[in-house]
Amino acid sequence: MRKLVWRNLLRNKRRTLFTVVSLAVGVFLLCVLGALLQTFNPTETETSEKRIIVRHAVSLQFELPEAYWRRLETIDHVDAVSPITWFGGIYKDPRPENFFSQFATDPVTLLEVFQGAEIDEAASTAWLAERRSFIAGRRLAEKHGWQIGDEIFLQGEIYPVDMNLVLRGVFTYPADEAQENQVFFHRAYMEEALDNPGMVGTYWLRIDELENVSAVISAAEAMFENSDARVKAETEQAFAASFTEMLGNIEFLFGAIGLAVIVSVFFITANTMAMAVRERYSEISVLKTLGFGRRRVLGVVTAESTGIGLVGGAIGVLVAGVLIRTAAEGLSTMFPLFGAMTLRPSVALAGLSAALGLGFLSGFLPGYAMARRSVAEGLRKIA
Amino acid sequence: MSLPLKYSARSLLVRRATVLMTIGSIGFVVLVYLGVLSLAGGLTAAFSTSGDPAQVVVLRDGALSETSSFFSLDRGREVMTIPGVQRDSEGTLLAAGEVMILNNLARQDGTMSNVTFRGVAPESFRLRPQIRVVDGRTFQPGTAELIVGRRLAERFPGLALGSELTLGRLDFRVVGVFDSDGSSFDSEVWGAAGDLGAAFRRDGSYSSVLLRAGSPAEAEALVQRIAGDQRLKLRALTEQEYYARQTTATTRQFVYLARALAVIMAIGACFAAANTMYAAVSARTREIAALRVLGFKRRSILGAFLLEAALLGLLAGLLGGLLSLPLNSISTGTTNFVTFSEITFSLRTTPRALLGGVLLAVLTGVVGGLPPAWSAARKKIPEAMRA
Amino acid sequence: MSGPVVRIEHLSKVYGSDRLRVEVLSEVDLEVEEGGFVVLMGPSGSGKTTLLNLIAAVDRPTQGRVIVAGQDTTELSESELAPWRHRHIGYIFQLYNLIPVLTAYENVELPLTLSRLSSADRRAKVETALEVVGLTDRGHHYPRELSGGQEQRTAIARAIVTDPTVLLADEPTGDLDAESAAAVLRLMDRLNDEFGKTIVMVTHDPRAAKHAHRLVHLDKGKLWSDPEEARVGSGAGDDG
Repeated sequence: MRKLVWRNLLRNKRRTLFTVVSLAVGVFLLCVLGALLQTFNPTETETSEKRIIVRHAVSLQFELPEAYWRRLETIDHVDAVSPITWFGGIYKDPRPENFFSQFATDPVTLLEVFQGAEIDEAASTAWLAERRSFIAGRRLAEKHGWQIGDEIFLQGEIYPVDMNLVLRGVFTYPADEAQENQVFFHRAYMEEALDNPGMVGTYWLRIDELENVSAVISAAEAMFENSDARVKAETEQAFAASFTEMLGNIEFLFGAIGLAVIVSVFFITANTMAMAVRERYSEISVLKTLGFGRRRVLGVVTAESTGIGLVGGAIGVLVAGVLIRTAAEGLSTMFPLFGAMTLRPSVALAGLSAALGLGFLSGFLPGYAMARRSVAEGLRKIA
Repeated sequence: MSLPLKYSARSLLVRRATVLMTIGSIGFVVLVYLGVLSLAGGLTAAFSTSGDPAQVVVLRDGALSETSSFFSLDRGREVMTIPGVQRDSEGTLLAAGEVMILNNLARQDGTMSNVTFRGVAPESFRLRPQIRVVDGRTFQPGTAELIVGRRLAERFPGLALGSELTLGRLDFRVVGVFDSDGSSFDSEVWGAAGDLGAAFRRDGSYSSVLLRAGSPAEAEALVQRIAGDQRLKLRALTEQEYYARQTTATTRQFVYLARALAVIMAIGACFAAANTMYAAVSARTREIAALRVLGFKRRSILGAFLLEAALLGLLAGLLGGLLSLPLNSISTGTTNFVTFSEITFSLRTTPRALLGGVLLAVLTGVVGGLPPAWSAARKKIPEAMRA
Repeated sequence: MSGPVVRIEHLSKVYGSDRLRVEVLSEVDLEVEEGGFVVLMGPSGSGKTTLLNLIAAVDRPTQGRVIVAGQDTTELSESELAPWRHRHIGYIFQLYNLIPVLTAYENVELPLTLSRLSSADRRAKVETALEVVGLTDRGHHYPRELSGGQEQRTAIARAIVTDPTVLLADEPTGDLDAESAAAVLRLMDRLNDEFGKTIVMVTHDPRAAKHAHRLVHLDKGKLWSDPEEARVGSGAGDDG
């Protein structure tokens, strides 16, 4: 019986191959879509969960007074507070590949709050000492080929000032490489250029223990409840997720695309199996006269199609695993978020199961119809 | 000489089940392509009806959008009196200083997004004639009243007609719903500039000034004049260009996504077309021999099978196009990539996208059909006769 | 035209490689006069179809020459052969080989689409051909709606519609019942007698053989004429 399945698959090698390839392409696409979707839900690391971001309750268009800095430090369980302002300047030109996150901050408190980042002692000292200096994540520095001592020019868009900065350090963030696509520079330098308005975009808080996160969030929001500038506090994940939320229903969009991919691939595999079964109509009738039951006949056909599904799925997952890093690099120039894209086991498994399911179903349906047809009719076709 | 079209067309009909499944697989490729492009199409349509080429938007120098722009009322008033700004018959300047504020609000599904609140002047309505109040009435300046774009009112429960909401320091009430012919203003909330400015402590500045010029050419001249005035430190561009930039920035992601998906899926579907056409060729081997004996050249055989594959693709393209049409009734929202505020729009499949989808399908058919058609043309007649 | 319409000289055809050589035809010579009706007989595998294919120039000889209507077809390139076949060869198959997706009328019309004819001329020719085979009222039927005999007569109409120099028939009655076969053979006779068509027919049906002017036997790749049957041929020729 096993021999029969194997020989049949090899009977029309080209067709089997083509079907496997198109199935693999579909599974590849599903894996990439899954990996993309996961980048919208950023990696949860313990350090990032222990960070809380405080911002203006109305929207990020509004800033918070400098005075909030000291007040936030007084909240219980808050180990450190750092002012972080999104500068949003233009590097070189406004093309998306030259876009990256730029923050004006207080260098001393940043290193306390931005735990998980690693920077060597000498670089950090140099950065702290020089007003015009900046530090960059390793990935970003590599992408733009920045060396220590290089100067960059950021043209202000949100703020009517330009920043002329010099690189003094490169940091890594082993737990989440996506964090390496940012630049930090001295807030004091920007404040001075703006004539000291005394405003801050957001405050990052480091909490002592995970269990105190919600208590700190409530305390921070309550603290400014009756102020002119009320605040919204949330974990770093929730903050990042709020940007994804703004994009609209990404999950639905990707889900719909994934479903269409599956349907399309199903038509392909089902077509192949229908062709294979039809060709063997008379042969199957012979099997039945030899005493093979319907279930066995159906078994041969489904085993064959499930085999195609397994091989196609495996190839698709493998190719996705190999190519996804390259794809991530390519995509990150356009959408920085996707730089962190990786193929996680859960996505790979889902892709493989989809392939197996498609394979099984596409053999089962025509096989079932065939197994029920009359032997006599099939035998007549032989003559 | 080539074989008649009906030969290829009718041959397709013979292997109905196989052909239908192949059409299905290619059709869904087209559907995905058109579906994602319809997002871009809808956004483009929303923005394109927003901008008037004869009007000029003035922003702070360096700012790319109204959200990051603010400048003093004095500078705003100064720019309004620059020569070239139109006046109406009563001598009123056709210029409007406006304030734009983003406020985070909850959508129907509970997710949050920034909503654009535009504080406007009475002239704002004259500069945007597409705006009509369709439900309730317009706001009374000084009474903290708001009117809401139709699509926004549907998507954000807190903005329905009659709702009350606290903005900054003031409590506002929604007294009307307006429609702006599907333009991006449908995604905005309008109130008096004075009221919204006071609520958010932005009453000392404008985000933008909108000016009406006599014609698109005069608008260009006005843009040059403002850029040339070093004192003002303001940036001007035609309203049409202002929205066109927001369009590309926001639609680009969908266009790229659509293309990438289409290419990858089409490669898979090519193999499906190839399988189908190989089966067709092998079933018709003797027929091919007969045609050759009748005096048809290899080229004609190749042509006939390629035509058949192209027709297969064409039908798939039409199927995909047909399936994509119901998408046009769907309304959705995403974020404007320039202002980071909610933009609601209706999905729209443009004729150009449809054409592109059909071409994609035909190409898929032809590429997949080429190897089998080639093998059909290369068959040796004596062997083919015996098949 | 004087001289033979088909002249075959020292024709050999070998299939396979050196190790597995099969000589299907060896040193065959044959001439067919204009208006002749030659029947090729022989057991299966004797090379009858191969010989027919070589005359139709759908296959290439290993050695020797095939001259049809004064043209040595072995000298023609593949791209020259297609129009040549269209002009000179009418081929009738055992299994008809009609195009299933075209109606009888369209099948007959098909070869004419290769030439530049006005549609009126084309229609006249198709109608004449269908009339000759007696299927005027069947033009709009698809092959699957016709009986075997009707299918074969349609195929004959398709073969004669271009007025080819030679009609080649490979077992035209092999798949037909006796009655239909007789009708097809009567038709072949008529084409030869009335329209002066030169016909080369392969068959192993002795009844079919009776219609020949000349009977040629093929066995193991060699050709030999039956002297007795040959006499029948010359007699028929005298009548014409």
